[in-house]
Amino acid sequence: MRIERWFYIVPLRLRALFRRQLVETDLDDEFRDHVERQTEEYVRQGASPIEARTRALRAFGRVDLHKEAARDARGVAGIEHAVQDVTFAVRMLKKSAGFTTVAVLTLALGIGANTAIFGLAQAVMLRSMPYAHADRLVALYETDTHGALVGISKLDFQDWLRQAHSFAHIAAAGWFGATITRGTASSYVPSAQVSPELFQVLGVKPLEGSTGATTGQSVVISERYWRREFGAGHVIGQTLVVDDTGRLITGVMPAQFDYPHGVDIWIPQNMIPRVNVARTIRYWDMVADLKPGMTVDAAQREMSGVAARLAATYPTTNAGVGAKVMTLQESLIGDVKPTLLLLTGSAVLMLLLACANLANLMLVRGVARRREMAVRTALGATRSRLQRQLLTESLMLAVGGALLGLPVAVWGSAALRSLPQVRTLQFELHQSNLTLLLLAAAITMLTTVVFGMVPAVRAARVDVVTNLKEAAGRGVTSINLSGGLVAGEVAIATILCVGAALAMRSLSRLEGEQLGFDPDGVVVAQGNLTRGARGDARAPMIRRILDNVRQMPVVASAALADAPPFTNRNASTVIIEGEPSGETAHWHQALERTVSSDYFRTLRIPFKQGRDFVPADAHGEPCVVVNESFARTYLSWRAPVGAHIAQPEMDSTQWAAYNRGQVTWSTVVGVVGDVRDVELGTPPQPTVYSAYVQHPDLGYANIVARTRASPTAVASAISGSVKTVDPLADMRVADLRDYMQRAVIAPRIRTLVLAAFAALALVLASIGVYGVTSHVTAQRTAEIGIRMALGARSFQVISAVAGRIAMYSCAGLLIGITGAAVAARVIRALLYGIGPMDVAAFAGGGVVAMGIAAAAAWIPARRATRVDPGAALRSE
Amino acid sequence: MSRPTDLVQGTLNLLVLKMVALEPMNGFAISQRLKQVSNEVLQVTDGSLYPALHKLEQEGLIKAEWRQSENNRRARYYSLTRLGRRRLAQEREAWDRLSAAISMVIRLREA
Repeated sequence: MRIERWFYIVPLRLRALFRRQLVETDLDDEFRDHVERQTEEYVRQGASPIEARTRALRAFGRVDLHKEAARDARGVAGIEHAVQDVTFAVRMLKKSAGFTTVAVLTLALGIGANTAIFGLAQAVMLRSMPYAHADRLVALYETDTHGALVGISKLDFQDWLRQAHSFAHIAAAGWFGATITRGTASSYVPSAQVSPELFQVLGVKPLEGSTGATTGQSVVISERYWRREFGAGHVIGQTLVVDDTGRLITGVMPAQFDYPHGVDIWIPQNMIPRVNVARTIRYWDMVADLKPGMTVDAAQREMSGVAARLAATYPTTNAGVGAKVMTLQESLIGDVKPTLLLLTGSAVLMLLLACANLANLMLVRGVARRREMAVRTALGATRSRLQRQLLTESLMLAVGGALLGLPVAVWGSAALRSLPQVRTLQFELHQSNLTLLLLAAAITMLTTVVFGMVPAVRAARVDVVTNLKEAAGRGVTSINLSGGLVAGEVAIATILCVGAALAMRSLSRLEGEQLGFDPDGVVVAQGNLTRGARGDARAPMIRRILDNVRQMPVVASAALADAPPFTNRNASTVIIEGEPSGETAHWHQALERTVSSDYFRTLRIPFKQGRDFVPADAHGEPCVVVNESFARTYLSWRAPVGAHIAQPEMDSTQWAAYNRGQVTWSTVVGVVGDVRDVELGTPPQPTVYSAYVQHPDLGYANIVARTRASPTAVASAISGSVKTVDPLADMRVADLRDYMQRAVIAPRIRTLVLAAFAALALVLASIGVYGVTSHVTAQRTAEIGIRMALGARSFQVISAVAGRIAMYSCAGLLIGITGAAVAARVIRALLYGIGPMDVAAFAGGGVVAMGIAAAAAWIPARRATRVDPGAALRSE
Repeated sequence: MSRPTDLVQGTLNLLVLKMVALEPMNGFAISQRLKQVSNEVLQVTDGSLYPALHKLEQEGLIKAEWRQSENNRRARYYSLTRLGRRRLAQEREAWDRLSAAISMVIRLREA
């Protein structure tokens, strides 16, 4: 039965759809045939032909109505109407191209920008780690006497292992730089000593081989290293020479396993110290997985108890040392939280603004179309037909905007992901984006459609005749709604403008900071300069390279440094002769840097006391240079030059030697000025500079050179000069200014994003204000005409027209300033050199937002005064 | 205004089906016949017959074809399909039941 029915229906429907012309002709023919026969019938009954035809037509009824009904009967009317609606909508949207462009752009940016930013925030804050049971992973720290987080020492680790019961496994990892030798080339690879449990704690299976073998000399490599160095070939069982020790490769870890961050080589090692190492050497990172049902708080309580017991047992080393348990996620992303909060907040505001703007645009447009709606109702359009028409139009706008939002989202995500500060985070971004895209799209599209339907609702409610008579009508209710939207838009724009102003002022404070050295004209050659040498051959080679560079005519001075400015430096433990030994309080922290003679001259770091390193130091007593902070913090009790300090390495033999009173003391020979060469925005820290010539085992060095020409012009010459000594050298030669730029990239990008948000907010808000004012003006054209005719001044007219808008804008400004004050407090950690209530930023942001709003209201209001009173009066 | 009530519409369908069941007919003939049998009942214009015909055609109950008619004229002839025949039987049965029921009710004597 069913099938038989389709057998009749399908061809008919297809014919109706695709042979529309033919079907229509058929209908015409059929009707004509009917009327002709009826006419003949009447003629036969005795009527005159003309009269017969008139009667036949009258009896037939309204041809167009029957035709329409016959079309409806075909069952394809829905599709035909939809096609009509779409065609009409396209025509209407084309006619008001400005409106369409603005609405579509608002949608695209609202959807796209928000998806990109929300996606990032969500990925980092909610589901950042690609580990099984990521919610149960915690990081463990010891806290020093000041409450600051520090790593854990091997001995404390042993005690923790024995006493802690909150965790299923506990693992430790210690970062170090390993020298890997393959054939003639050697390279420096970030590595970690790890306890074998690390792989179980994080619950990641190896890509190849296993991580189980803990006996013997084994090594696990990263997927990245495996692909780069071994071409992803067969490696399990091969030997890798790590720090001159051959180790068997037992496993390859997948890319997602990135702990400690950036490490390529893991050396599984049982954490049992062979000799009596110091309990105070605290640098191991710890991760653990909570037992099921265990909470972070409960674990914290237990560990605080353990730390208190240790402090009682070992008062000299552990007094005041506490324990800290936090989720691994918090430990990894802790400091990006304010940034993400900022981005998310801005994105939410943008979404609100976009919605407010769309609502406003649709409302204003709807009121402008009341007459059109009235005319169409009068011509016989049914209510549902009008609603469908408007729905089609709104949907087309919404869909167009959403479609454009997609590439914006994709591009925005890619741009955000490529930011250096984002790249260092560990997360997966791709899956979450679709949901977010749909969410943002749904909200904005819904707004468009809902407010787009307003005219249809009105058309249904309002009497056609009244509407036609009143033309544009009074529409006071819509003005109240629009006014509220204007206030909201101005408020949001103000918040974002103040935010951008705060960020800009922070950035300029940061960049205007005193560096303490002169980075202009300095070139840095960083990398593996002695790639062609091995072991002891490296030190002579680096000397020859330095001599070569120094002899270049364009080089004014050159020096070696273990790490160039603005790259990370190692912290080390320092003890000072003359202070009581063996107590925690006298283990000082200092940044450590190894440099050759002329380093300070090359960077123009001034000497405050004493002297620079000299070549004779190679065979003299061990010596160091310290910075002013070091002298002030640790040596205030004596003259710094001549003091003896020691930097025991993190290894057991030196500690044992120290305990026997056999520590190697170095003499402070000079004090240099403080420099900000780690991160802009952090104050200089106590620093010890060691003499390069006294550490010939350091084969890896970078060259800093002050040049007489522009750094970019000299770069290739310096590279060439290095290669004459070591053709295998692998390096990057860059302007020191580039390193500086990278040091402020996070605040720079934050500022840029905020400024972009603020600019966008201003554009959207000004469109909103402009739209509402134009609309009010248009509605009051006649009134304005009368006023002008009666002699009103243009100022009076403007204030009459724009007065309410100004009132709403001022309310918005107040709300915005309040909101900005709250927001600034939340993100105060991101500010530098200014307080969260920075008057200049608030004033600047407020003035810009208000100025733009005023301009947007002024233009249409001003136009109203140019109205010809006569024309205005006739306009209704 | 020109929209027939459901009852009339249903009746119209039944009448049309019945008529084309007798022999294939064109629209004009159907309308003439309708007027003859029930001029007083169906107060509709001639033209409103056509939407009804098209509706039945779209439902697969009748089919239409252009045929040569008397004095060499082309006309659209409607005839019943198998589906239509079945429907006619159903409608007729329903009608019979309904009219029987109504007749019974109106013949009730007032007590």
